[in-house]
This record gives sequence, C-alpha cells and structure tokens, in this order.
Amino acid sequence: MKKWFILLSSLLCTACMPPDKILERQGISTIIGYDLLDEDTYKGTISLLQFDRKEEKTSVTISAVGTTSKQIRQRLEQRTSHDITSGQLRTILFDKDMTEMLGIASFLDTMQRDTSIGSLIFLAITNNAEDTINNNNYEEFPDMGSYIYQLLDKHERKEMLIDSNLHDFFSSLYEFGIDPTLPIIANKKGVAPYINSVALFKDDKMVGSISLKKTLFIKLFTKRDAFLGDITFNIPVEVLEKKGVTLVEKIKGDKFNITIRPIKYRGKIEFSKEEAVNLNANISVSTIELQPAVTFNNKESIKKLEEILEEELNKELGDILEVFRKLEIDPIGIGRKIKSIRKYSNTNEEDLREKYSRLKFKPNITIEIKRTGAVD
Amino acid sequence: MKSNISFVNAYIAFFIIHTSQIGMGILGVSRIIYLEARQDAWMSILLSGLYISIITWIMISLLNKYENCNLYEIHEILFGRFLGSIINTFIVIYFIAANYSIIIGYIELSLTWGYEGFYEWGATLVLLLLTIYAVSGGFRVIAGICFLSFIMTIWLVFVMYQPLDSIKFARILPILSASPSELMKGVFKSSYTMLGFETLYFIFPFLKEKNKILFFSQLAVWFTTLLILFSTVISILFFSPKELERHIWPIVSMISSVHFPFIERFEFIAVSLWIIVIFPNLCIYLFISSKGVKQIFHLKQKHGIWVISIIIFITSLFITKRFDNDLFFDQVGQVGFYLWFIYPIFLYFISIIKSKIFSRS
Repeated sequence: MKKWFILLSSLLCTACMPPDKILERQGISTIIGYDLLDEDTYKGTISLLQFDRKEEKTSVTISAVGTTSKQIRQRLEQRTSHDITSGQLRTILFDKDMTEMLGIASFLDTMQRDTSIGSLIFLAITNNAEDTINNNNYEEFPDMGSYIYQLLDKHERKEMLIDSNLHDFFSSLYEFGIDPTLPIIANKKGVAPYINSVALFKDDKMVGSISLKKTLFIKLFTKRDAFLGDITFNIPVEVLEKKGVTLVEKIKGDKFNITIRPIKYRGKIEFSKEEAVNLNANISVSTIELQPAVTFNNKESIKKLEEILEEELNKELGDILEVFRKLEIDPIGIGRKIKSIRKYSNTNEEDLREKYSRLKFKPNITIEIKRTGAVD
Repeated sequence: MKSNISFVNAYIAFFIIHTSQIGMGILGVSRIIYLEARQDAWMSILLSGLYISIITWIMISLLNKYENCNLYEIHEILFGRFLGSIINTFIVIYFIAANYSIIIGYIELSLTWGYEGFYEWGATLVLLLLTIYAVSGGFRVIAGICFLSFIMTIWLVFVMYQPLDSIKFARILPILSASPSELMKGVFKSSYTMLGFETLYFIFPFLKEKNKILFFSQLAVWFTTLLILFSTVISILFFSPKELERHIWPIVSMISSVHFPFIERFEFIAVSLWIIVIFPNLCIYLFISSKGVKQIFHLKQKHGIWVISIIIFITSLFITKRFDNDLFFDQVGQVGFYLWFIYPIFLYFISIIKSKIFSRS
C-alpha cells in the first residue's frame, strides 16, 4: 500500500510542470513600445532576442496594431515563429502623444495583472516608440531592450533619475498627494537613444517635463538615500565679492564655477502653520571641481560660499515649486505629507489639490561643505 | 493513561501551533484588514494577537482539568455522547472546510503564478495524496513536518529587506484614525489568518511536560502575531492605498520586487516554496478531522483519512472560481471566529459550572 502511495505521489508530483519551454524556440521580448495610431488603436513594437547562433543578427523587431496590449501581443505572435514570452521584459516605452492625450494607466493594468511580468520593469516615454526600438545604435548590447534597460538602470542607481519602475509608478499614481514622474528618452538618427529629461504627470497624463538636474529636488524629499547627482553652479564674481568671500588668488574671468557632490542628505517636509509648508533639507557635500582653481583660506569664506550656494538652490527650488503649482502637480509628495496629519487625514483628492494650490512654500536648503578633496 | 499515545516534547507545541497558524492567510491578510481599518490595520492584528493569547490561556486551563483528553473527548464528557457527537460533527466539518480552503487557496495562487492551465482537481489530488501519506505516519511524523517546515521557510522573512528600500512612512500616519468599530471589524476579518491555535485542543494529549505547554503555546501565538504584524506594516508602507486594495496577495506582489543577482524573479520561488508552509496546515487539519471521525463513528483513523480526502477531492471539482473562493474563505473565517474565538470561553464556563454542580452533589 505504502509503496503504491510513494510511487503514485512521486509520479504526480514530478509531472506537475508548465508546458516545456525550449530556449531556442522562445522569442524573449526585452522591450515593448506603444504608439498611438488613432482614437483607440495602438501600435505595439517589440524587440526579440535571437538565440540561434547561425543568425548574424542578435535581435528582431516586429510591430502590430491593436486596441489592447494583449491583443497587440496576440497579433505579434502571428509575425514570428517564436513563442513570445514576457518574463524578461525590462522596459515599456510609451509614445509621447499617447501619454499626453490619453494617459497610460489603462495600458499598465495588464502589467500588474499578468504575473509573468515583474514589477521591476522600467517605464519610459519617447517621441516615437517604434523608431526608438528600431534604432540600430545600441552600443555593444544584443538588442535595444537590453541597452535601454542598462541605460535606465545605471541612471537610477548612480545618477539623476527618480525611480521609475512599474511599482514606483503605480504607487505614486494610486496615491493621492503625490504624482508620478517618468524619464523621457530622446531618439536621434545615428546615435543611441539617450535620457533627455523627466516627464511630469498629472494622474496618468504627462503635463510637462523638467531637466534631469532638477530631479534632485524631488529626490531630496521623496527618497532617503538616492544619488542626487553632482550640482554645478556658475557664480558671477561680483556675487562672491559682494558677499565678501576672500580668496587667496584673484579670479581672472568673471565667472566662478563650482561643482559639488552630495555625500549625504536629509529632506523633510514640514507643515508648519495653516497654508505654509517648510521644505527643509540638509545636504553635506564635497567640492569636486573649482574653476578657476582657488583656495579658500579660512572658515569664514567657506561659510559664505555655502550661503551663496544655498541661496542659489533655494531659489531654484522655489522656481520649480512654482512650475509644479502652475501645472497643478505635486511630484514631491507634499499632499501626502498633509494627509498624514490627523487634521487632514480625511481630505479627499479634490480638496487636497485645491489646498495645494493655495499653499505657501518656504524652501530651506542648507549646505555643508564637508570635504574639499585632496587639495584645500 | 492511554497506551497508544506517542509523546513529543513540549517545545514541539511551538512549531505545531505556529505552523498551523501561518498559511495562506498571511499572504492576503494585509489587504483584507486594510479594507476595514485602513492604515490602522496593524492595530487590529495586535488586538487579535492579544485576544488569542488570552484564549490560549483559557484553552490550557480547560485542558489541564481533563488531562490527556482532546476536545472531542471533553465534549463527550461534558455534554454526553449524543450532544457531544453533534458538536464534534460540526467541528469535523469545520476542519474539513478549513483544510479545503487551504488547498484551493494554494492552488489558486500557484495557478496564477506560473502554473496557468493546470487542472484544479489534479493539483488537489497531489496535495491530498501527500497529506494522506504524511498523516498515515501518525502524530510524530506530523510534529516532524511542522518542525521542518518552520526551519525551511522562516528565512523568507529576511527576503523582505529589499522592499524596505521603497517604503514611505507617511502612509501609516496618522495613527489611530480608524474608529473602534472598524478596528474590531479588522480583528474579525483577521480570524482566517490567525486561526490555527485551536490545534492546541487536539495536540495537548500528545505533549509531555504539561506545565511548559502554556509557555510554548504563548510563544507560538506571539511569534505568529509579530510575523503577521510585520508583514502587514510593511505592506501598508510599501503599497499606496489603492494599490493595496487591488492586490489579492499583497505579500507575493511585494516579493515580486525582490531580485538577486542570480535570480531575477524571486516570487516564483516563494510561491513554489509556499507549499512547505501550507503542508503542516493540511496535515494537522486532516489529522484532527480524522480523529474526530474516529471519535464520532468509531471508524479506524486510517479510514477516516480516506473518507475525508475523498470528500475534499469531490468538492474540489465544484468550487474553482475566484469569487466563490473568496466567499468560501470568508465563511470559513467567520465560522472559525465564532468557533475558536468565542466558543472556548463558553466551554470553559460550562466546565466550571458543571464541576461545581458535581462537587456539590
């Protein structure tokens, strides 16, 4: 009896596996791009990795037209002898027009529903997804999907990009009090696609964009340990003199350029009084480049330099907050902060947006120059 | 003292109670309670844990009065053979339903994550045969399974450290915004996940060193509570409100953001591994229900196991849809709540009253 049991169990237990997947027969899609054609028809383009060694090309791109993401996929299947699998899907590109006019949330539903797609895939926006995927310049990578993934991944890890994977996008899309952002990838003839700027969203529609450098202000308040990226300032010499920064050498030109690298930072949104928000942040930096090479001879002048940089950053932050307010968006998550206060915890989305438009922002960034590199 | 009982050490109670509490429930509980108590869901868990801790104490006080009797036997002593058998039948049906809910719960999960298209009945058959084989080995085997299951799966907790990267503390604030009635509803809804401590009623006769059992069972209950608390807090911080409401298994969706250099999609491993987490549940519930069948109908336990398994297998042909499943889990949770959160108190008082009457006469 027992032996039969063991035999039966072992047969049953080992036979439970999904239909076999042979690597050579798989069309592994690494990137998918959607373009808007008409009112509600889209063009989907994917890039498939080739595993056949006899083939010279390492990837194939195919396109199809349909109304839903899965319908497009079904039609893509008609155009290839491989099984299209999305387990290695790393990036989804959206056409800019589509993002601006229709929004992308409905397209992303399937990405959440389909368990074969992980939640770490990147989302990005480009001018024409089909052209971008068909671009043949992708450095040493086997296909465009791998290239764009590496590009975005690298940037997220050590440069200026805000987290832009599926989970991050959804979690800020579905939370009122914060709006999502996504990178914009530019595509030019003859060069590999590159990250151009960052798109700002209102709900799931793109309403504007900011430069990569300015994402620093968003990261300052939304993430705890991201890389802020180096910050460069061009300060007119008069400003330095007016402030009374004494330098050992005299500066020849009329600009003083300085690049600083944030080491550590701490950002905090404080809802101080009715209608006023303090954006406090504290960044400790090291100076990595000074043009012209000068030496700050005393503590006093470093202090004054810090003040100049602070002023500059606060002004920029104030400007960008005004931009956000004009677009009626809140990528920094000030609304979320307000909602976490007991008094406002039951505010609904409309009231929150309305309140946001009336808030007074007080940027208050402090900079502390900690290191100056190997020289003073 | 009965001669056919094989004893195990008291500390095994920790593994048995803990592993039978942790099962399918923990994967989805954060969403279910979140729907009731919003960002204060974690408080419902804590309250629920506190309550269970008290219930466990009451259960042990009752069991200590009837040494070496399980709940079925206590029922017969307290209510007589006929009335006792009716209650016992009800309990057996509950355990069969609970067992079944775990099976379909797991099957649904594994069909969604990677095994789309496999027959539900086939998977049920596999799980049932495994369970039958394990339970046929007797209590010591089940105790061993619980122990191994704990050791083999507890490390999954450490996987959670990757999602910790993208949590937002503002999401849990303000604390205590849910009304007491919402919190209580959360406690009520948490029952399906927290159930499993009732196994103490049935494993008690098998344990040595009765004086230590209270300690180990409390330890198990609190460990489970903390584990569920931890997973709930992390899911609240990790998901935005609307997102958490959408995911059926928030923990699995959260694990899908975990990746290692050598493995890209960890959630598939976790889902497959989860069979080891639910296996002790299946074994214990089958064991308990077959014990009940033996008590009521004087059937051999071996036959009881088969009868119950066949019933479960036949039922698995009918309830296979998502919404049916949800309703079913809800029902099992509700019945379980009344049966194991409320009923033990009554039972305890009945036994006190009865012993008072007897001592007087």
